[in-house]
Amino acid sequence: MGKVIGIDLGTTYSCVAIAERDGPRVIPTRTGQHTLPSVVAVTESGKRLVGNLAKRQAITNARNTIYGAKRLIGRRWDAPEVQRALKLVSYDAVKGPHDDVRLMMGGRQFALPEISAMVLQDLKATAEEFLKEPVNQAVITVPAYFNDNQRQATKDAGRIAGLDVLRIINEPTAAALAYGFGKGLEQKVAIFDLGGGTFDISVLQIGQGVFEVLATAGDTFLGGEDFDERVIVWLVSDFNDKHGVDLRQDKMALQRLRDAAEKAKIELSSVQEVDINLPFIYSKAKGDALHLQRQLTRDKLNELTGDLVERTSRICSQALKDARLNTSDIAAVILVGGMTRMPKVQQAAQQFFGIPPSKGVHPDEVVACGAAIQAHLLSSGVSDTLLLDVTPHHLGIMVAGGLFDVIINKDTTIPTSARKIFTTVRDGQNQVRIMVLQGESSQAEENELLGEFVLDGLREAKRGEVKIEVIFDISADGIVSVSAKDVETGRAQAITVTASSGLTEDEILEMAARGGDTGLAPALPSADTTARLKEDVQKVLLDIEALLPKARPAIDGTDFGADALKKAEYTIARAKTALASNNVAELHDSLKPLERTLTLLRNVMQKLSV
Amino acid sequence: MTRTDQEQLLERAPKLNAHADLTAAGLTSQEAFLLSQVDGSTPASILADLVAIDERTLIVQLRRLEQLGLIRWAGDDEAAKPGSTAVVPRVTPTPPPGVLESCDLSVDDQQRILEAERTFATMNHWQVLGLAGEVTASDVKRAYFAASKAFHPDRYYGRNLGSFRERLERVFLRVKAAHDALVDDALRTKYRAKVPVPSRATTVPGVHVTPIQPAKVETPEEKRVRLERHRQEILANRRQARVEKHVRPNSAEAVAKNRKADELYQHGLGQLKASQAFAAAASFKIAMTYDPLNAQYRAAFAEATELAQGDRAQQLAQSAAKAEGQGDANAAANDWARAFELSPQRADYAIRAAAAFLVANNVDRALHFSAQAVEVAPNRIEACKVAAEACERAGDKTQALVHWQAAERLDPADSHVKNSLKRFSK
Ligand SMILES: Nc1ncnc2c1ncn2[C@@H]1O[C@H](COP(=O)(O)OP(=O)(O)O)[C@@H](O)[C@H]1O
Ligand SMILES: [Mg+2]
Repeated sequence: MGKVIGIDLGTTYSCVAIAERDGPRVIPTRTGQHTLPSVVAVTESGKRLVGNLAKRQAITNARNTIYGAKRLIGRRWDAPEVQRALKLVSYDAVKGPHDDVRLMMGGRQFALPEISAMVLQDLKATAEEFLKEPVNQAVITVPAYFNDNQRQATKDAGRIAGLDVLRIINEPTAAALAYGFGKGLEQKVAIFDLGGGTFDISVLQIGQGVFEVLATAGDTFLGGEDFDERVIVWLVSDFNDKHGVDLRQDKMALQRLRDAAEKAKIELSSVQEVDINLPFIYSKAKGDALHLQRQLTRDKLNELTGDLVERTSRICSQALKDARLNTSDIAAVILVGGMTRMPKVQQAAQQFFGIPPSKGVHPDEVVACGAAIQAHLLSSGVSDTLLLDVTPHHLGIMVAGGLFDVIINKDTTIPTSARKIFTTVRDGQNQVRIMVLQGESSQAEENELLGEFVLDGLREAKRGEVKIEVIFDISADGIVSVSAKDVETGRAQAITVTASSGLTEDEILEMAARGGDTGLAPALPSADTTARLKEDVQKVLLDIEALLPKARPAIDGTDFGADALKKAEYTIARAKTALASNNVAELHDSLKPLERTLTLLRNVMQKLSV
Repeated sequence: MTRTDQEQLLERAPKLNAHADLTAAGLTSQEAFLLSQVDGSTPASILADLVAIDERTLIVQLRRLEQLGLIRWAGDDEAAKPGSTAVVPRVTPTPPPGVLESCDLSVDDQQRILEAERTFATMNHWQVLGLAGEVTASDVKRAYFAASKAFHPDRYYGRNLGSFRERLERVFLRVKAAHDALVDDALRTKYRAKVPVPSRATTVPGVHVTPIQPAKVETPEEKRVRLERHRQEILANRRQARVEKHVRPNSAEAVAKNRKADELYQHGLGQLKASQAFAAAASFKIAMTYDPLNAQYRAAFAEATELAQGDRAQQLAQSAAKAEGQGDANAAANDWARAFELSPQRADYAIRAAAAFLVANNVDRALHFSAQAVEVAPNRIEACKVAAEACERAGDKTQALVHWQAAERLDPADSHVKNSLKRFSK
């Protein structure tokens, strides 16, 4: 296996890391930062932008700039959360062919995994440049509270970006791994993760190198953007009172408000008051511009967002209850996510757990580092550290009356397996439909549908007489399989539940193939440019291999010899891999070093003949 | 049961139910052994021979296993057809029990898993976690964590495990069930009332699994010594066996048992000749269940096991060489590494693994395998060279120098070594 990276694909910021012998480290972006804004855009001229560049031009190009894609990924168009979220964004969205959400950018529709893939591709390229080798595998994190459809959509995003996703792990779990890895801890910890879009709390027990998740809880719609939203509403309603203008109707104004609100919120983490100044925010008619100017204090911010902070405490106590622990059992509280820099949030965490939060973990980087550690553990066969993760939601089926019957409880360690017997509800009923659901509501329809199938050919009998056994399995990879069996006849049906990201397999393949279309990888080459590239690489390789036997003894005798030869060998090996895999990007990347090697060998030979 | 009923069943093959809940079953060891021989293709009449019980008892026991939901009769469910196009029948290959196979697991690991699977089937929760005496929640946790490290499927992530993937999952589930039943104070008290805690932690005969301690890693040196001892045993046993043939007691039962065991043994020898070392090992293993004290079987088993590992190592070496030819240093490195793990006396595998890991830029692993190479073959210059390079790449100059110097002693004329040492003296 090549190197496997860990990626924290955040709502607002993403981060990539690699773990090796000496522990994890963050891979800096091309501009030297440790995180990348999860923002993508298409400019006027049709160029695709990702990260800082995309974020910087967001104000002038609000309609074609997409942020917060993670809030929508893997969700259905009709979901109330989606409709609520879409009201607040400055880009357009349409209903996709599979009841999924598609976003408009540069006059074209994009599926959400496609948008996330652009961010992933950028991180992949960053890692490749840093590590100087192709990277094809990753562990990606998601909020613990993501359901299987959201996880699958994230996996699909990885595939579209050309990454084989070894495992999707939970962000708080990753944070715990980074916090405790190699420290020989024996304790229970709480991970408090308040990010841009989501809140997650996990309780883990650490011991003997094992990290066991005891409970997770969270809210996928509680994060920094909700804090920003409170500030925006405060600004907008005041403006409306004064000028009778609803600024939210203007997409550009809304984007400026969003930026200003976030900036003010962040500044208030270190100062007591800030001035918000948005000149020319609206113009009624020519020469009649309106300006927005207000002062926001820390106290006011705390007041506006008090209920949000309050909600975190409620979710914490739920998690502790699920883990059957008291706050006094928790030896350390680890704060993760940008929002935990807000003093009020820190206070709330400290008040709830009764201990000051642990210092020494970097809230923006710890998740990616944990992902990198798990990547390292899985790919290197290390056996002294193990993660025991759980399934974050109840899993079960729909039964008569539209009720949800739970078969595997949330917070069950995976892999796991469970079975339950059901009976027919009608006389002479000869088939049953098994609808596999995930969620917390007792009403089936309020939960997420993961898949369905029919068991037919049942023996016709009085209702309640035919017994059907339903078996759920979850593998260590989190893959759910469900089977149903007529207990008496042994007749059975089964499915492997492939949670749906809203995309079909064909669409994913097509999007992956269109990789070049994202404007991040080199444009998808036509068949003959590939052929030409291959020819070039082959030609240089042949030249090198002709020279090498003669040059080798000569080089070997020089001081730099061993190193140069090793480098040459690596270059050759890499080119051969590229040839074998037909990968254009790799072919492209290997040509230059090959040519350098050839020049070096030629120089050596020249010196020899002189 | 009518006579014909029984006859009919004898012709049919019982099949193991996937996901059978062995924990709840409470089987006798006789039943567990029978269950371990059920593979979906062996008819009951032959099973009777395999487990050495009479056909009547066998049918009774199979009926009971069926009632417990552990087995069904092959052919019963063959008629089922998919109900709708959206439904893909799940593949649940029923793994044949108790058979070693060719996969990315060492024979030791395979045996560890098989024996856990077999013995856990009849153990109570205390025994599965190796608990005894006054048990607290944290004792349970500690035992569970240790067992998880041994049996959680992630430990073998990305490897081809064959039927062992499911076995491993089953074993882990069994461990987890024990943990879940005992970690909670109230549940534990309740369970204790039903099933008393053993006063001494049990280790079942033949089980090397001590869940509380992580499996001990054998050094290559220890492994070599052990294998050599096996070889000596084989020779000694062959001599012994010849003598014993003449002095064995001659009771009818013993003769019958011996016949079956010997058939299996002969069968295994045939398999060995046909280069099916894994299958042979399984045959000898079953032969041993008839006659556990027979040193000849034991020796043959050890020999077959070693051969099987050697075979697999050779396969891996071939595929490593091929990967090298294709320039895939990573794949090559991993294959060399596994080959070496299976044939720990082959220093050349370790050397090639280390070299390939260096090309693949994986200094960590290169260091590991070059160290192993030097340990196994301290007098091979290639071992010293690759170890020196690995140390240099890892930035450990002191250790690199030691290796370069060792290489120099082995071949003072080697120009590569000379140049490197020159570089060091600067
Ligand atoms: N110093 C700060 N004070 C308050 N909030 C902050 C601060 N720094 C960042 N944030 C907020 O944290 C959120 C981003 O956190 P992050 O952990 O990167 O989120 P995600 O992982 O969901 O992308 C944003 O809402 C941002 O405004
Ligand atoms: Mg985050």
